[in-house]
Amino acid sequence: MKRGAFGRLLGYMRESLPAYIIALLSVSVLTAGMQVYGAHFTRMMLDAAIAGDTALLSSGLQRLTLVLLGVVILMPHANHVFLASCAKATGNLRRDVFAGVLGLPFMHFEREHGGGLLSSLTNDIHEAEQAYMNTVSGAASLGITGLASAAYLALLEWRLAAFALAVGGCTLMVKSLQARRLRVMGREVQDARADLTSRLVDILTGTRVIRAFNAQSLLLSDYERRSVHVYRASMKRVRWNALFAGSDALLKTGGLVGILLLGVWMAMQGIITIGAAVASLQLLWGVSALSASLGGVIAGVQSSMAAADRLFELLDADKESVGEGNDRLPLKQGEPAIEFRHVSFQYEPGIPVLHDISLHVEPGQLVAIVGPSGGGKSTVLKLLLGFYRPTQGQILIGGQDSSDCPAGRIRSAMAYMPQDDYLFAGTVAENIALGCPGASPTAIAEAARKAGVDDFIAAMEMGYNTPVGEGGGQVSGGQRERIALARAILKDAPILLLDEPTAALDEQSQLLVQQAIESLAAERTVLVVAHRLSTIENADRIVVIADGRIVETGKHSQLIKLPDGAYQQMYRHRRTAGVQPVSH
Amino acid sequence: MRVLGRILAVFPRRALLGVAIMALVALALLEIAINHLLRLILDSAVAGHMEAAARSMFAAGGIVLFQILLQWLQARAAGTYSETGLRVLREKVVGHVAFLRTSALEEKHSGDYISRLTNDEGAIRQFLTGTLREAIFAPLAALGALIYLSMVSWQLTLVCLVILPITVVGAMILSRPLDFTATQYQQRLALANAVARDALRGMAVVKAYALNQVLTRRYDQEVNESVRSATAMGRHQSTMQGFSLVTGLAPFIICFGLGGYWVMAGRLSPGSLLVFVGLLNHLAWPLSTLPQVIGRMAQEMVSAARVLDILEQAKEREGGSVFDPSSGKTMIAFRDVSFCHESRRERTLRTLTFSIGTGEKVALVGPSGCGKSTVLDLILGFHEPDEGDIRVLGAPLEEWELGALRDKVALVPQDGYLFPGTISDNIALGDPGASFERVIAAAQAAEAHAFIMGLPGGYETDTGEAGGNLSAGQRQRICIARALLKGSPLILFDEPTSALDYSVEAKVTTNLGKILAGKTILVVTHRPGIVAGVDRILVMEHGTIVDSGTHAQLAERCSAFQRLYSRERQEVAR
Repeated sequence: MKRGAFGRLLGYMRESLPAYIIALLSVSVLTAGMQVYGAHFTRMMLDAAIAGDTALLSSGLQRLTLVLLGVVILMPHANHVFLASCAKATGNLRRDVFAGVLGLPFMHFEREHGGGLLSSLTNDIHEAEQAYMNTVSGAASLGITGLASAAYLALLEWRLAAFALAVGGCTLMVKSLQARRLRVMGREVQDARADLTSRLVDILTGTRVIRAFNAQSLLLSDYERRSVHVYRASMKRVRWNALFAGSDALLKTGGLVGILLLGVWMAMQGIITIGAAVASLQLLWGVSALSASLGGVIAGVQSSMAAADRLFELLDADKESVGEGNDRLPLKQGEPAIEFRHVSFQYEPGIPVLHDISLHVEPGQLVAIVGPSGGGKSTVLKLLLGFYRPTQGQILIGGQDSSDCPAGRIRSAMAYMPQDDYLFAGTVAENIALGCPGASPTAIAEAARKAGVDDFIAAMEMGYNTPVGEGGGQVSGGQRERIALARAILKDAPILLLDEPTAALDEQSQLLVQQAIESLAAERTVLVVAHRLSTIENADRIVVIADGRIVETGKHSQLIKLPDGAYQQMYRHRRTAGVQPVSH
Repeated sequence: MRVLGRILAVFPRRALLGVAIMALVALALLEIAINHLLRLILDSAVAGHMEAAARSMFAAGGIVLFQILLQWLQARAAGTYSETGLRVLREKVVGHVAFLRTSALEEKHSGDYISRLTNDEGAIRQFLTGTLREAIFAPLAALGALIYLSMVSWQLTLVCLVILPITVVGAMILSRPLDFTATQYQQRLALANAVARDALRGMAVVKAYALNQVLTRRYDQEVNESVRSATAMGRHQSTMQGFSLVTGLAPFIICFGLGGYWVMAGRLSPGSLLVFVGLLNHLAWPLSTLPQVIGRMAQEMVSAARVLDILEQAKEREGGSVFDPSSGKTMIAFRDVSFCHESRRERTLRTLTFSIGTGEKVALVGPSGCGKSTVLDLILGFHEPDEGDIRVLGAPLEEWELGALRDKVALVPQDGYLFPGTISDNIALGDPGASFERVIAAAQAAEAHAFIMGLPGGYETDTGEAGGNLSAGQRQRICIARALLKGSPLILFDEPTSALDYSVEAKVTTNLGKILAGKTILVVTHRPGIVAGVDRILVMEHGTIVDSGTHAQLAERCSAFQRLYSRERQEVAR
């Protein structure tokens, strides 16, 4: 357990930290008090009953009732304060982590597909929350009750206290050994199971091919081999679990019977009363009941701290500098809108994606990037947006070096439509308004009209207030594309970056998007990654990128004439299937 | 209970389960015995009978040792029974899944089978090693305690029995608002998580449009709501705690109060009073947890049934004859074939009729979703037609033994599926007896040899480990090599080159033309390069063949074909 992580978690209590600590201590002290007083009461009652002291019996009962009444009133209050401060702290942690995640550089999201981050936001926070709620309170209750019980026993007879402490010490040791052993074995079983599951996935996804090659037995014998690994790891866990069950019984029942025998022996020697012997039994019983959860508490501490470490690692990761405010980056007159100077880029060392790219786009031009898939086309747009920084070379936007500029300001000058454009849960209007927060309904409707989506919106029952569903799942792909386009139009940025979707839209959407882009291009600088011919035949320039390099550049009419050129080849292959086939 | 019977039928080593249950029964009895000894010890001690006390003490020590042994035995026996049985079960289930009817597999998402074999299997383990233990031990211990206590003092037992149900029912009533707020809390948390998931999925847009503030505000709002719910839940929890403190302690206080007076009156020995308090726990605890245990058991039985149900799904047909495919001029003949996927309402194929001659090379083209791949599925016997006849390799399809039929057909799948094992294993699967030279020759023909040699392990590279490094195009080429090595008279290609660059595709097509001379080929494709090179083209639309002929004929007369490729014309080659 790292002290740093725990201290930091407690820091999220903020102003409720004193309340939390007081409530935690109150709950623990009340729990301990009830245990010790309960044992004391048993001792008094038994002794009174054996001695036949009626007065003592009834006064004892009265006192017990009063004490319990006090506990019953105080305990829920303390507990409520405790739980409420936990809830607040978890909320603080949640908000902080979410803001932290949003501030991470883009590469985190591509690398982890967001899955790991989502799990941090849900599972890890839940795990860390357990540290405040269960782990600390469990440990505190157990610790204080244990100490108070030992103190009471020491007052009765030192040998009883020594015995109880010995049992407690052994339990603590055995449980922490168990927790460690269980974690190691749990991981072994988990790994073997993951391997087995991936084989099952193979069998399910490849069912056609497996049958076509009559290869069922091959896959099944492979599955069975791995199933044996799971079996062996699980059986190892069973053997240890059985040993743990035995050792738990030894510590618990053995300890209880042991202290009773010791107490009764002492009572018969006249050292203590019978009541005291029974009281010591009861105290040890209480402590051992609490320590039954000790294994869980130890495992809980470990997983909570592991989760907290992951969260803090995330919070401490380098953030993207987005800059302050929303002031738009001004593009200098007379400079190219976009300029790449000998830009090279690699996601991972040794695997270059772009190599020595030089490119400039004048204001108002429409430039298209084409080339085989995996050639680095989309990466050009991501570099422009500052999602990544070039490994070598410079990118200038409106004459200004983008490396001197916070990412937020660079992006303010661009409207971007990614290949797989995304809508957020909310209404159509809300999604369009994201392009310019605070835009008036008129402006939103105007943008929708320009994107050719206003007819479709008007046709819906709830119009602009129609919810699009998470990820825009409630509208069709073509509609999604056009709503995203309206969002881009509303942003009214001087540069439009467009990564065409590879999957074909329905004909009508395609046409409408096409028209909208052409009218936008008249007043803006447009850089488009194209998969369809129609977009690029009218482009001011076409840049062919293959294997991370610019291999050709020019107008359609020029490129098509280059003998054996890459563009010409692509163009010809596209034609091979034409109605008049070209022989080859 | 029926499900339990089914588990018993599948799981071997039933004796182990018997041992585990017997151990539980013995443990419940020992629990009573140890409390009885406690009473004897105390009473002897109070009366000053040293010898009797010592005797009971030795007996108690012996029982403790016995308990330890039984606890170990129980966990070991139940665990072994469960793990052995689960291994048998999962192997049996997966063995069944491998031969299920394809339509059964299509109906459900593969994630469904995976969850049954992971989560639901875990539920069976939980049942056998955890829940069963509670379900048997707790009621038995309670029953034993009840009988024993009645024998000690039936009056005191009666008083306690009246109080216990009140506490249990009270706890149930009080937990209702708690359940409500707990559900509310979970729902609000789910809303907050939905915002987070949304943000992560659309991160490119979030970054490009600087949406941090908008989303943070939205998320914070949901989190604040969840904090409010959690606080409300805490309040209910605390009230509940107060009540359970009172109700939990009341029986003991009454026991002590009433019992104490009876001890003084000489109606009860001090030891009896103590055993009463001790055993009361055994009576109260099962009563309060039994509803939960029953609920958990019901859930676990549902899970178990989900796993076991797989074993009852219909398998592919077995049996049939083996025919000699060498005779006959027609390789494939479909006559008026109609077919409807069970999961879909609309017919996939309608009165489909075509035939392919032996040695002919035919392309099947048509818009996506028109049923092209289904034709291949029918030829391989993955589905049976609803109407019409299919003859393959010279005999009616329904008379073929499916395994024998598939031995004579090679398939190149669209997704480039590779088997676990090395690349050479994968190619050799086409013909397990093939020499390494032939494996290499097949790889060369599929234009795969060069990149395979470029891999660190060459042909011995494990496809699982290299999985991430092999591109879709490379996988497709390995699949083509595998099909070539099989040397079967009929080869089915399902979009075999969709992930290949045009230049590679051209080379592969040329190689195949040489190697596969004389073989029958049916290729489903969109790629113009392949369509241009076949003997004949079948054009499909809406589940039926609308025209068939050579490239030149179709380009001239078939509007569906023209539509298909005029659209293709607008797409730049990737």
